[in-house]
Amino acid sequence: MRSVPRTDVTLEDVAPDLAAAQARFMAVAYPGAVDLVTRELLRILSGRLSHCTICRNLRLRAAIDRGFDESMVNHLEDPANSDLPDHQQIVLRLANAFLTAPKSFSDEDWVVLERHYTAEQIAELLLDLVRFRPGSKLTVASGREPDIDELIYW
Amino acid sequence: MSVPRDQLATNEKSFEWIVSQRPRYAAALADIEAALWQQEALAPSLLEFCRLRIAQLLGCGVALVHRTPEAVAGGLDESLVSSLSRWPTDTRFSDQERVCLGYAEQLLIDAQGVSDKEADRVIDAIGQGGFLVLTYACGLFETTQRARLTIGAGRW
Repeated sequence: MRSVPRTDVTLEDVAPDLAAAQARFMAVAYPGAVDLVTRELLRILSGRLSHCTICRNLRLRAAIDRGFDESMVNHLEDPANSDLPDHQQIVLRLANAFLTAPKSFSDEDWVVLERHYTAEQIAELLLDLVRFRPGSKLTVASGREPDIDELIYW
Repeated sequence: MSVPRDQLATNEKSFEWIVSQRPRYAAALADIEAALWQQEALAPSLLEFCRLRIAQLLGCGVALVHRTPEAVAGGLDESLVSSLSRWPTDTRFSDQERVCLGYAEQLLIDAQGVSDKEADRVIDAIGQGGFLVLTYACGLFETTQRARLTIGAGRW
């Protein structure tokens, strides 16, 4: 972790149109077609696999209100050994494959994913995965991580 | 309604087609990509080198054969593209290009592994603005390519 920014400027300062587009990308992500608890699990897993302190520690109160429980994050990297329902396990398999070995998401995995999710929901899950990591890497590489490694509620 | 199997993960359908099922979210991604190639902090050809190098490392064939129009219009040198995997030793790559390509590789492996020294080297080469744009861009190149690999896209 590093709390000293490596730049005096932000993306908004140097590429305002890009920063505005990034903000819109976040703004249209919610509310969505997939339940918020499942998306929260996907987001936290992405933060973990991207080694981003903020992303893996951030907890959305809206997800907690809808049933997210801290024990749910215990097996994000190994969902088959969790008590999570099938529809969340397949999303975590998708995220693990996407972020580590994309071609390992098999035809059988796709069948399961399609059994649980509509076309709109699958689009949303893929777009979430596209969205999370670039912001994580920008936060980490630009030295804007917090000093304290603890849960952040928002 | 589920996506017909033959429409989701075959070579017939693209990433754009799949994400278009969530139109506003997909449009926002398209806006980001447009803004990225139109920003002025970093030359499109330099971004394209990094995008293609990430594609080489991820094994994303559809990204490798794609060329971004802004980079082509900006004078992308295809002879350098064909030598991209040899950037550390090919003297035709400029110091600036080498610094950026090395940084793109490090970001792909682990952003936490970017040292102060390496960050300073990138900032010296392309400025603070370029550093921020390149960092975000490399993350976006990575995830948009991972998406194509995950769905088995046959074209960009």
